[in-house]
Amino acid sequence: MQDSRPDQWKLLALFIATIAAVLLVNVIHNLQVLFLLFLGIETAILVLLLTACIRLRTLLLMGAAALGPSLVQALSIGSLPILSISILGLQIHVFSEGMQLGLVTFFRVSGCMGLMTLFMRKAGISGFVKVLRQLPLPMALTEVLLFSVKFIHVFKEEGDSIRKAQKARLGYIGLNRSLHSAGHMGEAILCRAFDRSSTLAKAMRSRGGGESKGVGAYAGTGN
Amino acid sequence: MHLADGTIPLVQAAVYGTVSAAVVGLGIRRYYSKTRKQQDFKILCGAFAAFIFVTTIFEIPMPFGSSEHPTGTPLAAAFMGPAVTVFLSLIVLLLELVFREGGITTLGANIFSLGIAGGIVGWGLFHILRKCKAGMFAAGFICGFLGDLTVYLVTVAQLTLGGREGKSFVYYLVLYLPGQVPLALVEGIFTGLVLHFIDRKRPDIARRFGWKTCAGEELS
Repeated sequence: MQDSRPDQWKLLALFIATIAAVLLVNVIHNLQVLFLLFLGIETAILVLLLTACIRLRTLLLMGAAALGPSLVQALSIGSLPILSISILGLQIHVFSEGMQLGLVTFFRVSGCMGLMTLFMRKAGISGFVKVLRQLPLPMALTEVLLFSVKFIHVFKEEGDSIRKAQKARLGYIGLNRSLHSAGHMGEAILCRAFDRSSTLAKAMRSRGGGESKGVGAYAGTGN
Repeated sequence: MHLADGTIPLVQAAVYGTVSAAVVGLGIRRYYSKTRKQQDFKILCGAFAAFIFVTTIFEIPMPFGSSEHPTGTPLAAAFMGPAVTVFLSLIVLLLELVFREGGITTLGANIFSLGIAGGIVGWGLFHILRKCKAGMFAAGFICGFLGDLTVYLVTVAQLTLGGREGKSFVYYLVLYLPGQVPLALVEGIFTGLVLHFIDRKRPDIARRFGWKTCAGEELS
């Protein structure tokens, strides 16, 4: 318990630094005159990400998410085209105004996503919950968060087994049957969640863990 | 929805944050009052937050740092009520930060669209339709379909108000509609079917939430 304390403070400091950096990236990117400065910041973030050994797939996904908006802006905003391409008889114009806006969006989105990726890679879900516990937030937030993390795994397991059973009974042939099967699956998952929650509440009560303080111990994560 | 960091100006993000914080506060108060009466309410909240999370994770990336996906909040609101749903949407959006969805500065804006707009419209429509003696499937379908579309209309409005590109409401709407209308239809059918099956198979659950069941029974 004593060993984990410095880690918690480190994570909290990292979380606060991440939020400050996200805000900074937002503010700097609004000042388009400082184009070169934020280019430098993005490079620094990218180097940080690479040194943190972020997987290439994650980097590509981040790049794609940031590139999409930028491309749409470059192709649709502005009046003076700087480049015209013809693809299958369709004229596509790239506008200078849109290109600049697109670059700003690209750096802003990729910068913020990069920072959050870095934090989440360092902290993970349990670290994130630990950080939230240290912040002056209502206890309800962390207790429901912990329960929901537990239920995500439960839903995944139950959803998989129900889907397999439905598939074996040809439940996903055609749109009509697929929707019907999905509805049945949703109903079954929710009904089991209801039953499980009442059983869990009874178990918690019998062990004296019904109050907010003891919730983490029964949620199966975090502690 | 899920506006990423930087998609709307910070001032607007702060306004959405303030409004959403107030409603989340109400939701937390409602959560505590219900927890005192019902032992398993907090666990149910966790289950519904996980349900919304699982629903929203199937998404199509969109331009302007956003995405399209089913929302799940109308169905949750039909059970848990609008105030608690807003609180649950905060949990879901915090969880999605781990998966690099949404953003910190846009948390308030995302709660506003997903929780407040989607939750209130879904809950309101479901209960009005049930009072008008609509069938469980019909009420669930309209709750899911229109609740989902409302979330996207609010997101479109947020992008229009905050978009630095000066594009109109219709421009963003046209970008969203081709993907969102089929998604909303699927969510409507799914919500309708889930509520219909719960009503048929587990009337005890329906009665617990004060719905009129097939048998016409109602509990306060």
